[in-house]
Amino acid sequence: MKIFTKRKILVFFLLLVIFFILNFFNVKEFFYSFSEDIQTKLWKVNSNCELIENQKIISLIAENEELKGENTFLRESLGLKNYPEISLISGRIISKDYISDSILINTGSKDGVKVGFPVAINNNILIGRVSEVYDNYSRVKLLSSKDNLTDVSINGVVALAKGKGSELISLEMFPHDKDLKEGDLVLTSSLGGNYPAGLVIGKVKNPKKIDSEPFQFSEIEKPYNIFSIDRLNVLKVTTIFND
Amino acid sequence: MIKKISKIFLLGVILYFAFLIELSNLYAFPFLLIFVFLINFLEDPSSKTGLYTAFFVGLFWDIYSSNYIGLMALTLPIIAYLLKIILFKYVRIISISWIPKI
Repeated sequence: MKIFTKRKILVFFLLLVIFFILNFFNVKEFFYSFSEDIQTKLWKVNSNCELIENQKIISLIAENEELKGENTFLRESLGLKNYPEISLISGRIISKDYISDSILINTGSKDGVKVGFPVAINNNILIGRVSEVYDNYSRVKLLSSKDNLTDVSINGVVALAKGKGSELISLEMFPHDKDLKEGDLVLTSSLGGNYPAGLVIGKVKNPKKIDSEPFQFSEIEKPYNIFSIDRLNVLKVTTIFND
Repeated sequence: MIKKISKIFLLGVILYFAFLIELSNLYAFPFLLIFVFLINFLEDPSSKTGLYTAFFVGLFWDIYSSNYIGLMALTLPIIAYLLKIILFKYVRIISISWIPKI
């Protein structure tokens, strides 16, 4: 058995050229549209009533906190018009990416989706951001995707949520001198200019405070299981509010 | 020749539907990747079924992810080919005869 023959090398380079050319055509979208019906049927929603109830409660708590903050701000700065206008584009999950933390949804540029739009469930539980857009489909990079960074706020204190892959998110750079408790709600901060403020990311779990470290860190427990979600909303954010 | 092409096409179709199942929320672990390595380990080193399997799994992986098309479609068969060389030249493992040869 010869390791490298002329024929094998020629086949390899031919395939290389073919794949290089294929990347300039909409091959992926063709396969997505071909398999959409099958994948939608296969994507069964695992009915988990307790999880859905938790999502509703967390949603309402976050909405309440956001309204309180909004009320205080508006009282202090009457006449300013800084709040983002958000409209919703509803969609469905078609599939989860093979191995990495991203999902494919059935809304695309024809529906007004653009790269960078936040994606949420129950209108204010953030799950990720649009990373690729096709005509009728979009790829959403989840918050837990490796090295994904999100500016967050816990009780008014700004920190960072970092994706660890395998659907895990950790909280980092939380100041050492501030109070961090198990169960604290983690919300988005609009400091980074990527997301509107007040969207729910999850709850603090296993907070760790080491005296020699300048920051506290913890895990973030998400209020959803990606495999139990069927429908979601892409937030068409026209302006982003900066604190 | 036509028989060979139809076998390859059938293999591709079966792997495609298996891949769609794996992308849904029914899957527990990446069983197709494990299947690719197992089939290359256990089949006759002179057979190419494992190489075609690696190619199709890699191709569908590229299509249904944010990778460029061709990245895994070429990488997986190369890894499978190197595995076959090692198995053919240096290591003898009992091969399973009922794995169809293409």
